[in-house]
Formats: sequence, C-alpha cells, structure tokens
Amino acid sequence: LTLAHPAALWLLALAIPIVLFHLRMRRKVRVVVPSLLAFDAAALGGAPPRAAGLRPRDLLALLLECGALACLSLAAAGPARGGAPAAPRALAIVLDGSASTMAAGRFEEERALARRALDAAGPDAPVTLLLAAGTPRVLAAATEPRGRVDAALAAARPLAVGAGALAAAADLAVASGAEVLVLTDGCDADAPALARRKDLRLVSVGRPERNRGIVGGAIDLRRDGRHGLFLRVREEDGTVKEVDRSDQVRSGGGGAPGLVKSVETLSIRLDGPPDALAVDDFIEFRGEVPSPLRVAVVAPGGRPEAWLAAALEACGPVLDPGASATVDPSALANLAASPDVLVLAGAAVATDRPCLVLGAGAGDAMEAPSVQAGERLHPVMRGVDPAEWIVTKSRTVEAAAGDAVLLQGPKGPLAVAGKRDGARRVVLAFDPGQSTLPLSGSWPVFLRNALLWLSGEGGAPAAAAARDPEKGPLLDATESDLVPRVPRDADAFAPAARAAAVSGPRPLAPLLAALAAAFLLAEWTLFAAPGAARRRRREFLGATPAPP
Amino acid sequence: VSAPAPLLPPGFLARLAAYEPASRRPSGVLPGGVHVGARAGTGTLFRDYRPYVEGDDLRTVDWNVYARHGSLVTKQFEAEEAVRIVLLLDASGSMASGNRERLRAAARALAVLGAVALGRGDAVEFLSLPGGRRRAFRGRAHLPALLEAVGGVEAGGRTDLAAGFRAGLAGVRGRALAAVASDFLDPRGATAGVDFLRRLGWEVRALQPVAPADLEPPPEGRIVLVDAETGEERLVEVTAAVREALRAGAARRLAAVRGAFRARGVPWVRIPTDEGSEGALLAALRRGGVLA
Repeated sequence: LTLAHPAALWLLALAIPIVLFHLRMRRKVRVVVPSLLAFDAAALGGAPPRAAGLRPRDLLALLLECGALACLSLAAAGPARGGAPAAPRALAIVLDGSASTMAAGRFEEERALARRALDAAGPDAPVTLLLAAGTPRVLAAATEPRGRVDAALAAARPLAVGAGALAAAADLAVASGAEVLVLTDGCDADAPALARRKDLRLVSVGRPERNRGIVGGAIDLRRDGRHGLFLRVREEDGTVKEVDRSDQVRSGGGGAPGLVKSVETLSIRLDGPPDALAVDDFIEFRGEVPSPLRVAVVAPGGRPEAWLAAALEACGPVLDPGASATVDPSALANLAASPDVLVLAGAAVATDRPCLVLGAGAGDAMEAPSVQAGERLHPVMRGVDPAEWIVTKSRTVEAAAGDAVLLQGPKGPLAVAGKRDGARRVVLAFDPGQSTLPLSGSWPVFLRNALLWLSGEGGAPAAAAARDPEKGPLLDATESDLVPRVPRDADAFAPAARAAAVSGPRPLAPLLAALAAAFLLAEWTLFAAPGAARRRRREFLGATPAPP
Repeated sequence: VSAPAPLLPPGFLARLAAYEPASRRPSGVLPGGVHVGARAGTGTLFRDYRPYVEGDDLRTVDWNVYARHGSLVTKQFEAEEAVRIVLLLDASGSMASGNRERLRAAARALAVLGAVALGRGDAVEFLSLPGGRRRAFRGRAHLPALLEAVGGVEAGGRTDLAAGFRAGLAGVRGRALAAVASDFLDPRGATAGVDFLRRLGWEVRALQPVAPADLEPPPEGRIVLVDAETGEERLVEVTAAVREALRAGAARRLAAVRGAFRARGVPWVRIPTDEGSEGALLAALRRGGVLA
C-alpha cells in the first residue's frame, strides 16, 4: 500500500473535535414540559434521572463518524495497492479514425478517454499512438517524448475513409509488447472479435445513430447533353437504393434551365434533413463535357454529296461546325486542326484516325442485296432500323476478328465496326448515294451514332470520379452504418481505475470514499433521518422541542 | 391564517338547556333564577297554606277555601333564587405548554358550566389567573361575551392559585359556587387554591384537563427539560427504565391529586383535551357532580 499524499492523514486530527462534540453537545434534545414538578423525586417515587455519559447509541454514532473521517482522510492521501511498478509499462493506444467516428462526437470521446489513459499511465510511460483510418497510421512512436504524444493526440483527426484498419492497427500495437487500449465507436466489422481478445482492452464509445449516406454514384457526360447521374444511397434501414439525379446535372445543378455545357466539379448533396454523419451526405464528380466533334469530310474535290452534308447538319450539337471541314484527299495533311473523326466519302486515304468509310466494299458484288440488321445492340445501331433500306448494288466488306457486323447482306457483311491500327473504324460497304439511306430517317441517326462511337463514346458509362483524394473516397455501406457492433462501455470505463488497470497500481481512494459515504448514510438513517426524528418526537406528544 | 375554532359549537349550546349546575347548597344570594330556596318566597311555585294573619297580601288569600270552609288561609310560594357561579381559569404558562390543549380544554369546560348557568338565570363571574380581571355576566344575552372572555385568555406566568384568588376575589362577599379549572401544578401544593376558596365558605368544583402527553414521558436520550413557567432547565438521561418510572409517577401523581380533593369533599373532574369531545365533556361534568 502506497500513499501519494501522506500529509492528508493530518485530517485525522478532526476526530478530536468530533469526539468532544459527542461528549459535550451531541443529541441533547430540549423539551419544554409543563412543570419540572413532575420530575421530582417525590413524584417519581425514587431518585430523579440524571444525565449520564456517552450511551451506546451515541457511541455507535461516534464510531460511524470517526470511521467516515478515517476513510476520507485515507482516501485523500491517495492510497494505491500493489506498489509502484519498477518501470513504467508501455502503453499503446489505438484510435479508430474511420469516417463513422465523425458522427456525434465519437472521435472527441475517444480523444478524451485516451487523455485519461495517458494521465493514468504516468509521465514516464512510453506511449505509442496509432490511428486506424484506412490503414494503420502511427501518430506518435513510443520513443517520442510525452509532449509530442499529447500534441499528436490533440492533432488527430478522423478521416473520411472506410473501416477495416482497426484490426491491423491493434495487431501492430500488440506486436509492440505494450498494454493495448483500443478506442473505437464499435462500427468496425472487426470490433466484436477485438472485444473478445485477451491481449488488448477495447472500449466502445458509440451509440446507435440514424444515418443516410451516399455509398456510390456514376456520371455520364455526353456531347449531346444527355448526361446521366445516378447515386447509390444507403437508407437508414440499411437498404441500398439507386437514385436518378440526372435532372440535376442536366439543369446545371442549380435548377437553372438548359444543359450543362461543361462540368469540372459537380457537388451533389443528399436531400433530406441532416443526420449524424455529414461526410457521406455529398459527393463530388469531376469531369468535363466532351467538346463537339471536329469532323473532316474527305471527298474528291472537297465537295461532299448534298445528302451527306445535310445528314451532318442534322447531327446537331454533336458536331462543331466551325471546326469541321470538307477537304480533298490531297489537302488532308494541310488541315490546321487535327479532326476527331474522318468521314471518307468515296476517297481512299490511309489514316490512323477514327474514320467512317462509305462505299468501301471490296468483296463479292451484289445487285439489290437485302439488308439485314447485324448487332442491334451496338451503339452505332441504337435507334436505327435498316429494314426499310434499299441498296441497288454493293460489295461485301471483310470483318476482322473483333469487328461487329452492323449490316448483313446475302453474301457477307455490308457494314462493320471495329478497330484498325488502334483506331476505331466503321466501314459501310455500299455508297449511300446508291441506296435509299439518304431518304431514310435512320440515316442521320446512324451517322451521328457512328461519329460518337468513333470519337470514343458509346461504351459503358464513366465510373464516378467520387471525391478527390484529399477528401477521401466514398464510404461504403458498412461505414455509413452507425450502429455499433459491440455494446458501449465507455461509461463504465472509470478513468482512474481502468487506466490503472492498464498500467500502474490500483488506487483505493474511490473505494474508501464510498465506504465513508456508507458510514455517513448509515448514521443519518439511524439518527438524523426525518422519519427517525418524527418517530422519537411522536413518542412525546405534549412536549414541544424548544428552539436550540 | 385560519380563524380559531369556536370554543363551543353552536349546535352544542342547544343541548345545554337540559342541564343545570349541580349545587348541594343553593345559595339564595341573588333574587330571580330558578333555584328553589330553603324558605318560602315570592316565586310562582305553590309551597303550602297557612292561616291568614293581618298584613298578608289579599292577593294570596285562597278565596275558594274561604267559600267552602269559611276560614281565611293564605297561599305560600317557593322562593326562586339565583346561584352565583364563579369560574376560575388557571392560565399560567404550564397550561399553555405543548399546543395549548390544556388551556383550551379548561376554557371549554368552564364555558359549558357558564353557559348552563346563564341559561338558568344564574349570575356568572369569570376570573383568569394570574393577573386577570373579574368580570360578571347575567342572562342569556351575556353568553357570547362570556364565551369570548373565556376563550380569549392568553396564558403566561407562574402558577400560584391561592395568591391569585386572594387578589382577584378581593372584596367579594357572600357565598358562591366556584369552579376551578387548572392543572394544579402549584408549587404551594395542588389543593392550595381550593383550600382558600373553601375557607370563604364556597362550594368548589375542581376541573383538571389531562392531556395524553401528561401521562407519556419524554423520549429516550439526553433530554434537557425546560420548565414552561420558570424556564428552569434540567439535563436528564431518559432510558427505558426512566420512562417507565416517569409513566408510573405521572399516574401516581394524578391519583394523588384526585385523592386530595376528594378528601376535602371537593368534586374533581378529569377534563378530556381532545377537540370535538363535547359529549365526553358533558358526561364527565355530570359524572363529576358539576352539572345535574
């Protein structure tokens, strides 16, 4: 048994006035009686009663008070059982810094408990401070002075990252050989397993909270303005739903009419009232709307057919009229701006750029071949119905491996889409001028689809850019779930006792203080409680206690 | 603040008409009243005949007898007298200790006797001790004043009944019926005051209010007893045995007081102190020979 403040034992001297008080003053009840004649010896038939010394009843009260004083004095002296450790034991504190600890002051509670543990460990104990946020991060090593540990603890912040690093951080701390204290909100999937481990102490600070959060999203920015934006939202009941927010990106995000012309950063906030966790209530997309295509139509003499020019005009905002050109094959190399897509209309040009080749059939000749649709799901064929097309004559085109056959003739493919020399290419075997294509409503659609596909669009929607790396990636559905997986025990984590359990002797002051309170409560119940006083007074109805 | 309860409830006063002060020796010291005196008088109740003598009032001659027998006889009537009743209230400090229940019970008992007497046409006098002024009442109209005087007494001072009677009754002549209401905690002795009245030749009734607390000792412990009249303090150690002795002593003292009065031929009545016990009070007064 060691005493931190032995001088406090001088408080025991207060027992002297207490004893004197009991001997002289205690519990003399003044009672007014009609006359003292009734208490004379003659009236009583014997000797009148005289005051005696301390009675057993008062002696019990004196013992209870002295016992309470002794306990309080000893508690003030700071006794501890087990003696001071020979050398301060190392302590490793693991702070759960995942995004869920941003909710409802959880991380601040972790920080407060960590401070108490640091105080209880003593100034000389080596302390390692780890933050489990995405990955285990060492905030302060055991070799660093306590001041830096305190500063690191004060500067620690949770990160908007998912859980999963808690077990790794705990393993790292246990491997150091130190006493390990894991402070978590209990939402980590590994928390239940960690709570069962004997080589560490896990304290959960979390309470169940209601939360909705964005756990995913996708945006598709298109040249024609038909952008798409979809969010994956985790509801309070744990279900994940997909929400179409395309109207927000199409109207510029602020409700203004019109289409988004260019997007660099688009912030989308979850609708509904604020909830416990704010970090998963918004998402940012970064990207840019592709600029209109620059198309170069390569035709002999630089003059395309009228039906081709008309179809290109019908493509609308997909094309940039100012940057598009019509050139002779010989002048293609002289173009000031490199086109995005070439349209080779009756001109054979060797190029490594994406291009739409018209009338490029080189295989078997066919007279009035029937035209049948090939891969209807190909982006080029979206909205195109070739059943009404009539071709007077054509040749087949060769479909290379990996090519998609868009139109099929009796003897072979009439149109294919694929890659040549690393560039996309759509080859139409017949000259549209020798068919009813220019008269068909599907022709400008086919041409527009082909140009967009050749420019690189038409694949799977672009994945969500999510938040930028500084703000962390999106949380998954597990991290947005703010219901702890282990019961909260931070309230039972009595700072002094628990910290002492981690390192150092066990203090006895709380026990002694409780014992003193029990002594005083017992005395009050026995002697001073209103019921006891009333009971004594009721025994003597006619006597009125005089004011002291 | 609630007004104090009336000394006697209004409905109770009507019940008193059936009672009269019990006096073994009706004292015809005052004319009027309804008490039949020892000698013939001028009342309305027929007493006897006697031969006519010169000087008799002709209105008292029984002419029917004369017509039948030819002799003159005169009718004699009872003398109707009033009794003088003196109500003496001990209002010393001891009577007011506790919650004044003794003082109020004593006043209530005297008020009952006074109300009965006024209803019978008797003369009532009231004196409170120590230091009170004697006041006289006669007739039913004085009943409210009597109740106010009896119920409005403030207690205080020390008990010395003989000295108080000597000072308060100075100059009073003739006989009377005296009712003394007191706890008789008199340092001169419980019967000192009554003995003084008996020496005046008065017929005396002793009324002693006894509260439950008078028979119950103080609680156990170190008790500082404070005399309500003198302020004298006495530190006592009350144990279970002491409480038992005090309880027995209180009963013994009460019996001793009763015995002392009875030895003097003075009716002694123990007055209940409970509020609302008017029926028990009437029974006690009848049983004790104060009312008939």
